[in-house]
Amino acid sequence: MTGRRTQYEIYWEILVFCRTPRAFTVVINRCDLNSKTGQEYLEFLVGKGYLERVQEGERTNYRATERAKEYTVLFSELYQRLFDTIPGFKL
Amino acid sequence: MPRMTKDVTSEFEAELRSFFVLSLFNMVFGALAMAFGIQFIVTAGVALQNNGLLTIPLFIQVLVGLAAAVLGLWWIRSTIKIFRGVNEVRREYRATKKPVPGETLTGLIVRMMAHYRENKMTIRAMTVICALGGLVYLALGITNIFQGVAWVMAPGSAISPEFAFLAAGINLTIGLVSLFSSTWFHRYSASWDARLDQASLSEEILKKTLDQETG
Repeated sequence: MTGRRTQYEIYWEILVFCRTPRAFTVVINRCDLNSKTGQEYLEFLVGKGYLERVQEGERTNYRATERAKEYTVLFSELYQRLFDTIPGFKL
Repeated sequence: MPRMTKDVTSEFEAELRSFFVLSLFNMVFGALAMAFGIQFIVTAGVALQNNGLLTIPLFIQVLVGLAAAVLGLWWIRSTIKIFRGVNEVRREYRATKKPVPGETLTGLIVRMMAHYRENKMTIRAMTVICALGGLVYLALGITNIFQGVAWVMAPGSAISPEFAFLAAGINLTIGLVSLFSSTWFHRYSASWDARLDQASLSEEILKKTLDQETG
């Protein structure tokens, strides 16, 4: 996903994508982040308890925790409400 | 699962379709504007070759043609940029199995938000340019009508009435569509600006949620 996104949108994308364990490079590629900012976002979410590191062999993957649901569900509700409450554009 | 996903889906779909059509319209009319501008320059060039004299009306015709061609080119380029982003989201939406899962819909909404943030200034510029372009083309159309009427009243002037009335029709159509486009772009911007404002308030809620989790 490209374009100008807010940090909250990026958190949501990472958490949804990491429902199944994902490697760091896969996450930053999918979420269109560079490694420095990608690392910052992942560390932030790990620190908040929304992501956990999962060791699979020699590889470290990231997986969304149960707590992440609170954020992703709230985010979806708030964003869908934007189309529900504000009159849309129609030709 | 968020409430009213079905309503939100149809609202999103209708809006996506409307903006897609608006972008497509603009590309076609941008191309027409450019073609018409070039045609103005070419006819002025032919007249110059025949008369061997660059008169003031001919010079003005070249300037107007050049302005229309440049405007048309800018119009097409800007629309293509906007169109590409909308088309990507539209394709993804169409490829999604119906009913669209709530999370997929949220992802598409996020993409449209990002697309609007990125193209906000271009869309605002389109509102102004379409209005200005519309007025210019309406003026050209009205001039063509006068030219046609002038020939009917005093046959033998440089431009034939068939050509003048055809040109009037084309110019007036481009002018009207441009003015409508300007209004539509304005309405689109108004909707998305309101959503961005609302999203800023939502960010406060999300921030609080993230902060609570730490505590």
